[in-house]
Amino acid sequence: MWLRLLMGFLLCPALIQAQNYRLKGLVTDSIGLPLASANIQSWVQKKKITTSDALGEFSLEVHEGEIGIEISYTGFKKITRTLLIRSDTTITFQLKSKFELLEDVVITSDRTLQSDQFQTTRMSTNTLTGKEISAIPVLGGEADLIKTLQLMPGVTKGADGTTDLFVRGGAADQNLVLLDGAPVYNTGHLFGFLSVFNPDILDKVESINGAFPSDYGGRLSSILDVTSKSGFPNHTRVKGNIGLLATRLMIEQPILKDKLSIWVAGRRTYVDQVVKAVGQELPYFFYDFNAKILYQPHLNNRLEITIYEGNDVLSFANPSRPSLRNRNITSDFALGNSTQTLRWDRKYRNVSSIISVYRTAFQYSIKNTFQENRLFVNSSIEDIGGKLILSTDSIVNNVSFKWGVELIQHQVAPNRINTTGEISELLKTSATIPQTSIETSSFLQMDAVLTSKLRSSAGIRFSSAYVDHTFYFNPEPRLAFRYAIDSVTAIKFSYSRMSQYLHRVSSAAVAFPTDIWYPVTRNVKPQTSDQLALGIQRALPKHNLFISVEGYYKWMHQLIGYREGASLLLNVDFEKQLVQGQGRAYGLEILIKKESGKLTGWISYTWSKSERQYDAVNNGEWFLARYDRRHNAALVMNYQLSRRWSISTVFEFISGSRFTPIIGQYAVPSPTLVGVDLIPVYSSMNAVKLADTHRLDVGIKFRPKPDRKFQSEWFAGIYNIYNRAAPIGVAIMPNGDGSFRYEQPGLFGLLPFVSYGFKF
Amino acid sequence: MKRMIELFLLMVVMLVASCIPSPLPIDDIAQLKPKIVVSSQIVPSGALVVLITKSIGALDAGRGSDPQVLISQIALNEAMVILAHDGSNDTLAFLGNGLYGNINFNLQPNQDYSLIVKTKELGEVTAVTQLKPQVPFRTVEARLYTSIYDSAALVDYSLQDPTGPNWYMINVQKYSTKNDINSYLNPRVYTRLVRDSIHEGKIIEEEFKVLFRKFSKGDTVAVFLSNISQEYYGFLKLRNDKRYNFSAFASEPLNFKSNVQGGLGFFNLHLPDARVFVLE
Repeated sequence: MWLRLLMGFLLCPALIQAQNYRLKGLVTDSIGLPLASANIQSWVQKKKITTSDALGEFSLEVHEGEIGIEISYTGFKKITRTLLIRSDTTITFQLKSKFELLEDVVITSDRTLQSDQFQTTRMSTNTLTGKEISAIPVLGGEADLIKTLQLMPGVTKGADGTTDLFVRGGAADQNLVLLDGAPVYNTGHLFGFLSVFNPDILDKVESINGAFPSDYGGRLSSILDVTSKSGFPNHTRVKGNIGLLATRLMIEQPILKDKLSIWVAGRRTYVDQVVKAVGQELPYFFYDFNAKILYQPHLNNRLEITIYEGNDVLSFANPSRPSLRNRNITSDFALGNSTQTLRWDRKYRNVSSIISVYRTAFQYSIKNTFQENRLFVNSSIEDIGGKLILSTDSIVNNVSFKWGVELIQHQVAPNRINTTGEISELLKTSATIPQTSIETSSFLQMDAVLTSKLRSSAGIRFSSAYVDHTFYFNPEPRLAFRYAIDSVTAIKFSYSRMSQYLHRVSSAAVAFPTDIWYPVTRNVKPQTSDQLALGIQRALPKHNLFISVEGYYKWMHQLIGYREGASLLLNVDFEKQLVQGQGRAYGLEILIKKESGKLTGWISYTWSKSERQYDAVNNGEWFLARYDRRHNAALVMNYQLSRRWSISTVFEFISGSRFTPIIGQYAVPSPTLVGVDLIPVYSSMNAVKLADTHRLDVGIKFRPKPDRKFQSEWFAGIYNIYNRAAPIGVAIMPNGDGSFRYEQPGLFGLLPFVSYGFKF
Repeated sequence: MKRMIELFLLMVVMLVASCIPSPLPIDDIAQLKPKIVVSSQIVPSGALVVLITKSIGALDAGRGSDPQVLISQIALNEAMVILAHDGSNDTLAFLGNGLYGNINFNLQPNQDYSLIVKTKELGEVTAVTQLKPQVPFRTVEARLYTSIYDSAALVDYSLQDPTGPNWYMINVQKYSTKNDINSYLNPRVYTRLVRDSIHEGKIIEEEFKVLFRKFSKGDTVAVFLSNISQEYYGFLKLRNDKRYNFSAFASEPLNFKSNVQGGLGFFNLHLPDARVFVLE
């Protein structure tokens, strides 16, 4: 159909009039899904270049008459056409994957690719799709976007198995995690060992680690932008998975064809129910619920409502152990996130607008009783936010603009502690002062094609926070350049300044579910960072390869740290434990990624160094950050053996993290002279490097009947196949003969997994 | 079916348990170079006792170590220990096992005292502190508190706070009839720290339970009250706070400050008021 339309235009007689018209286009793949960031070039009198937006749409101002146009997209066949323009025109360009005609077993390209950024000024960005995340073996067999992201360059993980991310030398709380635009404060289930994102709902995941566009801000180190599925299904689709850790189910239902649809997805651990079936009790479970309503009454109007609710619940009363029975022991621990987002996309003649409003909340509560002691703890943070973005939807006169404003109200009520009984002698009924802070920002970005080889992106973001009768303001300039050496090679450079007005009060070593978020105050100033990045990218469509080499240097100012010996757990006066200092981080990152073909995957390598300095810590001297890991390499491969069988493997090597071990001890008499206390002496801060970590995971996937409407797959494999410990610290252990030794314990060894998935 | 599930669960548990990775060895951690450690105490009879030891490596002792072996390992028995005050120097007598002392001092409150320790093995260290005036209990009582679940010692006391800022340490010690040498290392002495910030110059009175220790009718309990220096109060407060850090991997490491120049430990002088009770 589209070909006929094109031919019609080609055969029309030309009318030569010097009048300008608007050529609007939609770039899709062969099944009609939009392709974002497709490269569009047109030429008559002078060459014009633009890219399609997130909805696959573009717009060009053209002279009346004949124009040439070329649409290209990595992994797809290029389209070159001559069009005769006599009025405002709208055309759909449907690209075919290069691999559709070759063999029936190859993986076709996804709609969003790492290599999309090649044509733009963007760099320092890792892109993952739901397909990539579900293809590789991970802990417990439960596909996990954060654990997959930890295999990308520039990203270091914390303690083994946890969902903390340390990006380009930053801290774990310096990453803004967004689910369809709403911040998610707690990213882990199972006490942090599994991410809260149901892999079935994922459409695209972008981790922006540098060269930040001006519409993003609020954290120093990265923006993890998670987008859930947003396509209109043709018919009811059901997808499910049963694994060792959890089961999940997703249903997509069209209501009005291509106009209104809804999907719902749920995930829950079921181990507690299995254990219950045999008469035992495991008092823990978690669940997630996601839903999205999509309404597109017209091509220029689109409305999305996204809902997420996830909770971890641990609850038990009077354990069955005889020694503890009838001791009046109950323990209830619940924590959870919830987000609700409303997003409205509107297209005008040559301007697009996005209006989004959201609410996000994270809270936890602890209700413990032991004999006559009671401990109740509540903590919560709730954000109400809104964002408006206006952008010109094409490069007019080689320049496009994006402008917007954002407003967020944070309401924080942390550590409300209520105790009765003897425990109140130890932990008094108290509360941290609740805070309401208002964060605002406005931003402007200009993207320009300066020459046929040089593109630029210049922006400014003005951010501010009002809290505790104190006002903070920070201008955040952003700059990025792309210089094309040839059609497959580009050099990129960027500078970004970021500010952060909210921080997580957490040990520098390990995050706990009970960590709290707290805004800046009169005494605790906003953290800021400046980052320079220089890189070279090569896109080799012939080999389906994207290669990126980047170096960066990041300065961090007013960086939050903790006093030596800081005790943060249920500490209502934690502000006294905070110190502010500075940090610096630099590194080199290499990524070679193959995103289509029989063999897909990537090789990543990062060399990095991250240091900190606080006047009150380590005698004021610079020291290496806890998760300064000098070398970080990963090999991720997925190979399609046949239509039914595929194998995947992950090999990871990471230098050991830093640790402050006990290196000595001394004895002092107890105040009543009845004995001596042994007091430990620690090394200088993070003086010891733990052992390097490496791990091999393998998985094999079998699809019994890939041509049937009801498709199923078995995925089995082994995590950490040679059972090597990934050290979390240094412990002192007795040898049994009165002597002692150091050792480095790890958490997860060899773990087999199996899961069964289906869709129809 | 139920048996099959049980078997399956058992297999999963066995599989996972058998696959916990072996910890990795590490043997290149540089150990602390030995330093002189100073501790001091005025016993209720008024005698000054100073313990001079040396620090040891992290692997040289630990839970389960023989206390007598440890003391002989760390005691510095050939030191010269001098107490200096107002231009006069007094050398303390060696009492054995690193202990040096003198019962003939006439220690004056609110005066600065310097301690000089000279050893052939580890050189010389110095420390200065001020003797705080003794503040006795105005009233004090210890009795047994019982509930349907447990029993604890309940201490009820009052004291007259002198003018000026003061810092107090209250210790409660249960004395066992058997000589339990195993509790010599890290004896769990209950220490309560009190500041006079809102009661300055007034009567301070309170009642507290001695938590997490077992008490029974007939137990002998001693309650001590000491007026201590601000620095020593800070040292003890940090030690109290660190007791509840449940994991070394998750807490911020801390090296306790010392007022011993070139060494470790704490040189402090305070005069405790001790009272003994039999719990009823």
